[in-house]
Formats: sequence, C-alpha cells, structure tokens
Amino acid sequence: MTTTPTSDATTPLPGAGENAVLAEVTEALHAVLPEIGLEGTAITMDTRFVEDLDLESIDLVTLTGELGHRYGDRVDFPAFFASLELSEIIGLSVGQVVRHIAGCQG
Amino acid sequence: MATRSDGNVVLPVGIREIRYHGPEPTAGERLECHVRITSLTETRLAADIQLSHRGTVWCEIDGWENRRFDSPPATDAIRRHPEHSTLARVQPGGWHLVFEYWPDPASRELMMRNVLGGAERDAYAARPPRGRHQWLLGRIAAKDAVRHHLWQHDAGPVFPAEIRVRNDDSGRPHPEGVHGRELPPLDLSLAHCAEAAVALVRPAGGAPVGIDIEEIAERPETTRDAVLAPEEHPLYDRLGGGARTLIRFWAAKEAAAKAEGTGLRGRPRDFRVTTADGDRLTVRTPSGRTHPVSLAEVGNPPGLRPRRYIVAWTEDTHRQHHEEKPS
Repeated sequence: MTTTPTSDATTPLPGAGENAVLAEVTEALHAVLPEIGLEGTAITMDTRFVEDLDLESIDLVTLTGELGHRYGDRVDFPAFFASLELSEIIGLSVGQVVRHIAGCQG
Repeated sequence: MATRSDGNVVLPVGIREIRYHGPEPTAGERLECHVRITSLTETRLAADIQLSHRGTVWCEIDGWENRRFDSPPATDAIRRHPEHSTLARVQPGGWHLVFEYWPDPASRELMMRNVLGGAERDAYAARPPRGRHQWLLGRIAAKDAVRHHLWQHDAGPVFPAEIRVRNDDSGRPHPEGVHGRELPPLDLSLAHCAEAAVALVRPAGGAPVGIDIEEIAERPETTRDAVLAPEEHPLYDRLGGGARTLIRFWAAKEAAAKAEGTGLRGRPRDFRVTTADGDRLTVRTPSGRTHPVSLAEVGNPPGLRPRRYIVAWTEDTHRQHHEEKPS
C-alpha cells in the first residue's frame, strides 16, 4: 500500500482502472479549462490536448500541477512531459496520459 | 454607410427581384443608378436599386442584400496597400503586436486571404478549428515583424505573402522569403494568446530572441507550485504574489526558454527568476545562462472581450548575456 501526500484525505484514491483514471483526468481538465465543460466537449481517450482542446503550455503545466495534486509522487508528470518531443506533445492524447498514470499505479 | 467606420467591406449575397422594362442597352451606353438603402444591421445591408436609360427607368432591383464584414479602421491600410502596411504595430522594445480585429469567422476568412499565400492557406485549412484563428494571428505578427525589419533596412514594397514562416522539428519558427523574395538571416520568435499575437525579429547571431504573451487570469491554486521552484517563492511574495506576478514569472520563463531554443520541456521550475527590477526580470536557464527579460502589459482594444495580457521578451543587451557557471 502506497501512501499519498494528497492533502484531501477524504477523497478516495482513484482506482488503477483506466475508466477511473479517465474520470480523474477529465476532472483535472475541467479545473484547468472550465470552458471545456461549458462547451460540452466530451473528453475521450482519443481527445488530444493541443490539437483538439487547444491547450497552451501554461494549461499543460497547470494540468500537471492538478494531476500531481491528485496522484502525488507516484506519477512524475514533469518527467513524463520532458520525455516527449514537441511533435509528441502536440499529438498527445488523453489516453496516453491515462495509460501512463494507470501504469504507474499498477 | 459612408458614415460607418466599421463593416464597410461588403459582398452581395442575394437579390429578391429584378424587373426589366425595356430592351437591354447596348454596350457603352451610360445609365443612371439610384440606390436606396432599405435596412442596415450589424451584418446585413439591403437596398433597392433603379437603373435609368435616357430618363426612362429600364431596370428595378428590389432587395439587393450585402453581407457586411468586420473591417475596423485598423484594417484599412492592409487592404488598400498591403505591400506598404502592417496589421501589427511595433511596440517600445521593438516587438510587434496584433489583435484579432475580425472576431466574426467569415470576416477572418477574408483577412486570411489578404495575408496568406497559397501554400499557407492549405496549412491554415488543415489546422483543427480550435486554435486556427490564433495560428493565423501568430503568422500575421511574424510576417509584419519581418516586413518591418526589411523596411528598416531600405527594402521596397513587400507583400505579406512574400514571407513564410516554417517551424523546424523543435518547433522553432524560421522566416523564409517566397515568390523570389530573399531574406537576410533572421531570428524569429512569436506567441499568441486569445485575441492577441506578438512577434520579435532580430538579425541572426545577435541577441537571442524569445517572446511570450499570456493573459492575466486567475488560475487554479496548483499552477503556482507547478510554475515556481521553492527558491523563487520569496521573490514572488516580495513582488506582491497573486495572478499578475505569477503570469509575469511564467511569461519571462517562456521567453527565456524560447531564446535558449529548447522551450520549457515541461519543467518551468528549472527556469528560475533570480532578480526583479521594475519591468525587468532575470531568468537563469538550466544551461546556466541568464537572460534579461523585459515585461509590458497590454489590453484588448474596444470591441473585443476585455482582457489584459503580459508580454515578455528577451532584451537586446549583448554585454549582459554571458555564460555563467551553474551554481
């Protein structure tokens, strides 16, 4: 059992299942870009952060902060993003991040 | 219409009825034309038209309808003399700033045709709809900054379509001449945010170029910790903290990272703001170099959604740009 540095101890830990992680990533995305929720854009595993959602780099960094808040040290998001080439970041999909998180938890 | 300063670019979209009262005049005959405007809204202009031949009404056109396009005075010059004028305006510090004066999508398509060459129009069309307008704005800022530089060095007329911006594999933009236009070696940096775009151009090999623009807006609590290293917190707090200070730090880091040619690589905390002096921040990059970065605040013009932005750009101060040993 790993411990989590997340301050909000009442929130149940997201499960390792990809659906649970997808829900968590979607929630983090809505925290970063509230207008995504307003526009009713559906977030799927195929949604691309830059190409489809038009996230800018400060949004991506905010997203890593949000996800870091949720998953703590178990997932090194800055290292994950730093490992990607620019072209990979532009094409990065929600599914890739979800699978990375699920992999780190498994 | 002549009393309106915007919406003076029109294209016909419909005619309700045309009535002819006689044979068609032969070529070269002079006709009299009377136009009565019947309605004028933000996007439509309707009129009835009467054509007379030697004092007799020959033809009546009812319900001639024109679509009006966004065309505020700031866009007049680029339509009339594109080879001598820019949409972007040069700012103190030498960078260029342009706003999206054409919020209506159809008006944007018209402006796009004024400024992009054939190959660029294909690239524009291939982009996903979200973000397409900002890509266009960034291209405009870059083309205008390059053309301004050429004019400063005694170039004659240069059309927007004679300058193309190519992105290399690392994402860095490079200006190129097309249609026979030759460019001197130039370094270019550009950035866009919401309804604004900025560009900075300098001769290659001089002071490194990096520019960023970011909207001043409240962000989730977690942004601060994702952007700032713990070592930066005392300076951040001393400068007042809050959204504005955070965006100033962020934009300065982005500008320095672009000047390095690396980008932030997902690690903004490794680019440290080390000193602050008014509108100038110093950023130390992971390579150990330091970049003096200037800051300015700009706002959307009237007619657009009110927003304020921070612009950050690396200064042209060779002497202050030197290698430091990593601490």
